[in-house]
Amino acid sequence: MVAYDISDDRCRRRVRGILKDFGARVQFSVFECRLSDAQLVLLRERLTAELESGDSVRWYPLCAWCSEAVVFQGAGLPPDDAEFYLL
Amino acid sequence: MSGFHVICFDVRDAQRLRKIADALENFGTRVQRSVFECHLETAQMEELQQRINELMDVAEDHVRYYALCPKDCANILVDGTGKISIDPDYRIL
Repeated sequence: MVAYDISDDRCRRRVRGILKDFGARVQFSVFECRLSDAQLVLLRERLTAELESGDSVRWYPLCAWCSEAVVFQGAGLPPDDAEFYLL
Repeated sequence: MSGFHVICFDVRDAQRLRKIADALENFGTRVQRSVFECHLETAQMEELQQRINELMDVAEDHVRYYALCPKDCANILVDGTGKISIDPDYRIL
């Protein structure tokens, strides 16, 4: 799971565009992605290049067990792929 | 023993967002605008979810709860501003 806080609208849109190629958007600034080690490195580089002072991106790995334990309340759909998790 | 939890919320109404964030401040650390990290026992987690359920609008808002095992916690990464929260119940002496 990756969560980002980016103040500039254009930067945030670009980050969203980059992440769309790697996973599913589950909240306004939260994606869930299934990534190899190499993809994670690449993605971190691309996103870090977009960050300005005060911005942040947080990466939370979810093993198979932890990914099964995700819970949500309220409107909104979980990722379509039931096996979706960050390696 | 407490577990590490990440709570992410999408709340449409500014006032409701403030109330939910205020409630979460009693349980954990705000690490991003809409993300909290908490070190909570199961009972505390249930209490938190109940509290958020009372404050949120289930039709408009969306809250996600992630529980991370110690191995996953050890691999959390932060780019840009911010740190990973620590369990307030533990101190290194």
